[in-house]
Amino acid sequence: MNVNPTEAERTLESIRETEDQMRKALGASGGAYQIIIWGVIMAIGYTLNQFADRLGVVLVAVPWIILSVVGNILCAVISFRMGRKFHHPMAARIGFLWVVFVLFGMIGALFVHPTDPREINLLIYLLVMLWLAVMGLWVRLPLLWISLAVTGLLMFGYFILPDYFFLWLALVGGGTMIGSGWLLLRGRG
Amino acid sequence: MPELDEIIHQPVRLRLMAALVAIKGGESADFTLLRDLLGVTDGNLGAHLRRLEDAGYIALTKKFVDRKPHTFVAATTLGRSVFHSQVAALEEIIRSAGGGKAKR
Repeated sequence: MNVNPTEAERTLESIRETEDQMRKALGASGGAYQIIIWGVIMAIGYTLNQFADRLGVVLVAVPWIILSVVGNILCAVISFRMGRKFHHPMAARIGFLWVVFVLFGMIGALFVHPTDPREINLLIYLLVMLWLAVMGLWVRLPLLWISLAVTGLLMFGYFILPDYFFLWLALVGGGTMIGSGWLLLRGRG
Repeated sequence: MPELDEIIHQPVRLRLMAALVAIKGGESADFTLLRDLLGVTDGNLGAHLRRLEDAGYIALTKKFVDRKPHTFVAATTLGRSVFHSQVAALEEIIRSAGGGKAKR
């Protein structure tokens, strides 16, 4: 089979375009939107946490509850729609893994009894990052790097910026997730 | 002159493999997604998928999603290897001719 250099270049260009299109389709298929949704929720929620002294418990807790319920519903809808375009052989296990993590987190809380709000939120966030790390190992490696990077930044905020920890969570946790989701949408994940 | 795989070196099949190889982590793509991405008809895509499956370059899985049957397609290890060899061969053709933009 003979292919001249011009044909070869056109073929490679066609391959590049198709790969880009597929990466964008992958990014837009759901995972990116879910990450952005939780990023926005965390950015808003933790910003409220930072000003809890002035706002009071109700004005912090109620928005968190509403945002979490709406977030979970949106993510469930996205997961359902995503299942139509892409299939992962471990999709069911991925879903169950989160349930298992939540269960172990609740069991751990029975024994550890964190009382400091910063500790409680950090532990929840670490659980989320652990889940993301496992997702990275199972499904898409960039998720592992994101989880490790965010965990490192969280530790920095917890030990170095204790008075502004919730604002740090909003910025680092929420901001990183929004940025990561945006990158995935652009096919860069 | 590097060898080009005759099965994979067909425009639609090559783009199909490019799309599938772009998916990592064991995921597979839905038939209709691929059809729309490649801009071909159901029958046309089906014929190309059969050819690639017979060659062992792709694997098809049928699942029910929302009570409707869906076909999901993934590149096999052999398929990925042949695709990468194909790309390397095309790049070599360009390099041998003294071309500049050889790399993807």
